[in-house]
Amino acid sequence: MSDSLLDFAPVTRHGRVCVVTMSYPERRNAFSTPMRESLVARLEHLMFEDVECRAVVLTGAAGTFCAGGDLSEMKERPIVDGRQVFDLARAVVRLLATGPKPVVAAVEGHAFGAGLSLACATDYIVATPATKFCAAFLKVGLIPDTGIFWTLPKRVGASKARELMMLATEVGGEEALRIGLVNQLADQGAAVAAAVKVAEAMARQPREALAYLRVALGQGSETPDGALRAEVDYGAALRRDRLIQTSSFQG
Amino acid sequence: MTHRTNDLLTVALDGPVAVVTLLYGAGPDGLGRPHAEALVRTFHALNTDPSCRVIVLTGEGDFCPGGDFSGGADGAGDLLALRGRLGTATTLFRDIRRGPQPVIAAVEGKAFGAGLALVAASDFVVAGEGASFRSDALGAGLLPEGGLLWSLPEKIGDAKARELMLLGRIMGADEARRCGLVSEIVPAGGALGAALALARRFESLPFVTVALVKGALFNGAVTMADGERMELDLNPLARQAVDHLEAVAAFLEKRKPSFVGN
Amino acid sequence: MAVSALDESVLVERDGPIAILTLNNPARRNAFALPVRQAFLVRLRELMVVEDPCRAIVVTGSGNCFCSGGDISEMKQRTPLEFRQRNQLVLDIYKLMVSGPKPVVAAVEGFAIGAGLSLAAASDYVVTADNARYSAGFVKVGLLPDTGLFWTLSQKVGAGRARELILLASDFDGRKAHEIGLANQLVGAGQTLPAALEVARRLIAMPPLAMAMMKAALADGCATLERAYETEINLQPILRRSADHKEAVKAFLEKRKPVFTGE
Repeated sequence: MSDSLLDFAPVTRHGRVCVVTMSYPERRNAFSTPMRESLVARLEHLMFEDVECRAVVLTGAAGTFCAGGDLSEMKERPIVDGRQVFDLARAVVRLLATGPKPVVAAVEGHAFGAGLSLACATDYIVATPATKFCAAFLKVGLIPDTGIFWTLPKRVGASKARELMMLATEVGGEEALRIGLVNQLADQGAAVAAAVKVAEAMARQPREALAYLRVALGQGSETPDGALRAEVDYGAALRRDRLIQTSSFQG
Repeated sequence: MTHRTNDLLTVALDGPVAVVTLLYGAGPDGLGRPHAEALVRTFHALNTDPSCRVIVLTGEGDFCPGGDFSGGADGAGDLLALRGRLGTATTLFRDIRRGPQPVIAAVEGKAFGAGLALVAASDFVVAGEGASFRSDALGAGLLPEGGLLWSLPEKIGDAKARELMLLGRIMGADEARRCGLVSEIVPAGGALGAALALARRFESLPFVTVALVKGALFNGAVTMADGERMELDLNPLARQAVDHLEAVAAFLEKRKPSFVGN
Repeated sequence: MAVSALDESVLVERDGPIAILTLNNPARRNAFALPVRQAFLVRLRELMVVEDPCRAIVVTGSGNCFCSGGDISEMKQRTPLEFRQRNQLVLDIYKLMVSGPKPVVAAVEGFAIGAGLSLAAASDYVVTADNARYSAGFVKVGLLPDTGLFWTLSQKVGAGRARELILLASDFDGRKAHEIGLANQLVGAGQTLPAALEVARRLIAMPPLAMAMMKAALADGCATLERAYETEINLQPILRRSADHKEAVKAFLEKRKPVFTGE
């Protein structure tokens, strides 16, 4: 990938917290193909290679989060090619939802369509009273995508999720807080600062346990038996590491 | 009638209601592995006791000031031994969720660490004002135990569950009620009384059906097919029960039903 | 469609592309007796899957009552196999409501008890009167929930609250139904039908093919993250080639309202 593509998702550092900013202001940070490529590259690096980075904040440039898919890109493709297009979006969601480091979304302005999906794939959403969320997909003749069929019902319950998706209702920041879509409201213009604070608190948690917890919640806890298996498998590994670190193997 | 099992918990049987009270003594440690083992033995005994129809779980003072189910430094580094030890907490979760009796948690003060797992595993949670809830496993470099990875998102949704588990934040009783962890809030000191009143309401329901519902709900109705199978397999059985026929007869004769438990 | 004189227990009325399906046995508080269940399934299937111009369905009950549940006087001893067969009928009803191609809005006044609660929970959107009375009921007469309630109630109110409501069969009112997420909208008594029709009008403005695929996806395509991806990948490329999607994009760029045909 050329460096210019990376410009769609530049990274700034605040100590151990890295802020990834979706930057495509002409199209309100639309989730275009170059945006997906940039996000995959940036997130893969931060999640797996960058040892300094302990938590990620995802936000958007120019006062807005992400307007969703890029309508100007929506051209007719054969169905088989259309299926391939999803691989990049899937990679972004997988990195956000189950990568080893926690992710906090700082959402100002609009989080529409896939923009809402991206926010929902994170651990914690900070918004402002003026933020607008909308699962706009159906309005353009599409079904919701980018993992939101799984992430939105888990956040707001299946009933509310069904309502938001079927009617493509716009939800403001206050209501988003009330229904459990967002975790916290900040003043307008202050969402990133608030998100960095939350991410710093997460960054202080033990690294390995955080990684296991995110995998357990993202992939291991789809049934009670799966959750109990994750508890025993990952829990035993973590306890052993802790025992090795604190006692017998050091002496 | 009360038997003090040991210095870890007491079990008091009051008619069909068993009250299990966790004891923490004066030590700073809160709940530990011995409690977990005592709870497993207690739940096994109650789950097979035909006179017990509902279980109330509470703590002396705080519901649970903290601690975990499988701590302790012995057996260091032996992965298989650690897996076995962690299995105690998962057994306890299964017993609470799959046993035939509804389980009501009566919470005063803190329900921290393993205590939050006991609360989230319960079918009903009654809390006194001032009750507070916390998952602190991550801060200790561990995962939550006792089924919390399943039960907390199930009760309060994924967003709130992640917030509590990742940040170790303390949640108050009001917020816990709003997000669905707590079923009922009462004035401080009133949780046990309210839990017992709730428990009595099960006396007018057919125990065999309640047990079937608990069994059906264990695996959750994650997919439509799960829900259909539960309904199609178990309802024809429930309809064979003496207690179902008695409930129908009592309804049509406009009298109180008298259930026999099968 | 003309209403059959033989079969007045379930009525179908029309308001443009909206069909109103009314349980109509107010003397029995619209009990979900066997003949009513059979008539309801026939009507619902006609509206959902037989070629029918309706684009959304409103379910309600006459006489200011939604549905008081199964008919207890019908509850006789039968073999387990007979019960399975009878249970299959109500499962077919709930499956059509949940995964059929057209959205369903429930307008709940009065009682929604037992199977009445199941019918509300199987709807995509519930408008409730504040004084409506709900209860899972079943366990009180020694039964487990039916008509799909295990899954639909867990979906609507979360598995934790569903467990409470099913185990204890407590009564609760419309306000509580709204608070816990069972009902999407709370209105005064007598106001549910106009409010439900208003919601239905918003739903029929949506593209029908995408709506049908979304209902299918929500019914059986999002239990796990991997499953959700598969659902997207299987359905979205088909929708991207649909006339409705092209029309929506065109209308968006031209800043006008789209006109959907379902193609």
